[in-house]
Amino acid sequence: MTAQAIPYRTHRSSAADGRAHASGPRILPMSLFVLAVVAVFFSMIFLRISLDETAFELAELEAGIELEQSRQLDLRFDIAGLQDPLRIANEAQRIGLVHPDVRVAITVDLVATDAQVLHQDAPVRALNGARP
Amino acid sequence: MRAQIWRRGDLRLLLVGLVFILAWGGIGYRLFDLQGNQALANAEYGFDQRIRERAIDPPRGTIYDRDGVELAMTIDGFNVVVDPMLLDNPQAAAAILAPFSDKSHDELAAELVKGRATERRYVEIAMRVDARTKTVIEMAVDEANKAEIARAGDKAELIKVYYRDQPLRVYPAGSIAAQVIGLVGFDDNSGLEGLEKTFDSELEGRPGRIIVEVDPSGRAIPQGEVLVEPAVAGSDIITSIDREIQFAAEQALRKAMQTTNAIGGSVVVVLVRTGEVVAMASWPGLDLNDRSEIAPSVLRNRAVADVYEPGSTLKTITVAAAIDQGIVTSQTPIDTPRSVVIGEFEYEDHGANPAWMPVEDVIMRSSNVGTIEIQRRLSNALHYEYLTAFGLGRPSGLDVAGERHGTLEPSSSWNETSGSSIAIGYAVNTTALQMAAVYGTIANDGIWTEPYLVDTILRPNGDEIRTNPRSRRVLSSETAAEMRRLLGRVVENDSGTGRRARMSDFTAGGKTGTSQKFDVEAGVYSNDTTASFIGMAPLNDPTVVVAVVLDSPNGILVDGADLSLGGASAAPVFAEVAQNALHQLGVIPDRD
Repeated sequence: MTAQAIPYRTHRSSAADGRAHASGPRILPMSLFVLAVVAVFFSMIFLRISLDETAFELAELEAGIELEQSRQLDLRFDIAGLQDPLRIANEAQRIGLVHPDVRVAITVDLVATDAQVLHQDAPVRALNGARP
Repeated sequence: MRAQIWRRGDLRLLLVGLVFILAWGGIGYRLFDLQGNQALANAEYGFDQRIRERAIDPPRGTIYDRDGVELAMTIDGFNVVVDPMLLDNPQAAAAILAPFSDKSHDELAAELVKGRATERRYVEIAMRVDARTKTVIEMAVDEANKAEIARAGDKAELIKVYYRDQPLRVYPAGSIAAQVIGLVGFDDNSGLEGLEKTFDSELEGRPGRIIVEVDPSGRAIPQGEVLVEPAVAGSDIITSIDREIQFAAEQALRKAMQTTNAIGGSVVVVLVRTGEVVAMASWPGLDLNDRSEIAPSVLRNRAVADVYEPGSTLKTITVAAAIDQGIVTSQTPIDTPRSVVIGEFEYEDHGANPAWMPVEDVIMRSSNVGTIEIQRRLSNALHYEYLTAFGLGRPSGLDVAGERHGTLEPSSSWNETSGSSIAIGYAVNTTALQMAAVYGTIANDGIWTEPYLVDTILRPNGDEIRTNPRSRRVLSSETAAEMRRLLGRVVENDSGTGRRARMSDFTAGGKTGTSQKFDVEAGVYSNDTTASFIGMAPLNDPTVVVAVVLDSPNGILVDGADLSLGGASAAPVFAEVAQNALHQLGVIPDRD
């Protein structure tokens, strides 16, 4: 009887067999992975664009706020100008108003006392803005 | 075998390989050079190219009156400019833009054409325009460009206009309290005069800066900001000025200038209890919004910057001190000969007086001789003590730009005539405000209160800095009450020198003053006078003190009154201003 080597499976050959055996079903995870990468890539682009759009909108809003603030300042200037005593006096004169010959002082109850008039809270008055 | 290795094909391969190696090597070297050797310089170059730093101007604080109405504020403004190199048709641009410019169409067109020829990149169209004017310009340019596009399509010659921020400091009330508010520099908005100067550090705020990443055309890239340091807005200032009372004071002063031919004047209105200055008018006046008319002399706040010898209004201190010290009473008889000689000077009364008078008549008739006699009984040392206690010769505490303190020599350096001269208001210099504070002391039951113009400073962080005026007792309450009675006689008695200060609705007390002006060049007193009246109302419970000072009034009234005297020229101004102020403050009339 001639001695004959007994064939055995090496780890290498078994792995090769396994690879050959599993090559078909592993496409799916790879595809999913690629899809995920692509999705993440486009998501990042989309997020970046969204962020930029939001930033543009914010910039527009800020510009709008600045414009309104500017208008508000102009209006405050107008209101203060309208209260200019010189303007009022000239306007009164133009429409024919004159100072009364006789002044009659009428004292009415429940009006502020002199002290109250004099000690109104100045900062509060300023913060409330110009009186009408 | 070797011959087979170096075949022609292998050689080509080697050459191609070498070319590739050299090419990649060159690229690699260049990369190394750019990213290594020149990395720092390139980084800086790139940074400069895409990064822009802009200053952020802080909004200057607003100055309010006591009712919260703006007296000075900052609004958005712009300088309108064009780049001639970007204008295809300068003539057309000039036609559209000339109406908004100081230049005529021809001047502007010539400047734009010349600008193109000389490659100038900046031509001013209009400076310091407000937001509304800017909108009008924008609309005009848009309209012109649309018409041009409709006409020429792609070959349209468009107008490009640029707007550079230039905040505008504006004064809604124009001439009201102009010298008090002051003004700011034309370009940098820094305070030059008045409250604008005194409180410049509070009003100006702190500039910020913004560092932004820009695209090749210079536009900011959103989210590209590198750094933003926000500007800190300036503090707001709430003054004690009442616009209506200020207006009344200015109108009365203006009228007095016309009737008395005075060359200048001032009016101060102070609230007795608090020391608040509710009006401070100076003449000549000015409109802060019209800079073409502003001369340095009219910017002077005469109520604090002009010193004068107060004349008879200072007799009040002499008499009050003597009464307060118990040296005389209001009924003590005082010899009043026609004149008295002291040292080298002979002092005499204006007009005829009895040989003797009680102290109350010395004040009512404004007797120089009688007041000098009272001062001699008082002594120089005590007199000086009261003068300084009343605030003469020292800052009022108002803290406004250009304020002068006046002069009052210490009693130790007084000569033989100093006491007599000072007793009747000579040899001492004061401001109108200082004299208002003197009479405020008598009105306020003998307590001197520091006058003030700024009630509150409102910081951007919400902090409030309120003025806390100093005060001190100078006279006893009884002396102050007695002095008010004596001053009331000056106005309410028909023999009083201040009878023209009488009001229809309120009782008043006060004192006239007339001092000859010293001619510095000639070294002698001239015939020109400083006429004044300082008083309080209502007499029994004073709310306001009004000081009126007129510089060189002259002329004669139809009833023969000499307008160079305070009783004839300044007293009526007091009456008009005080009555308006009391009505404005809602004080109930006390005269039937």
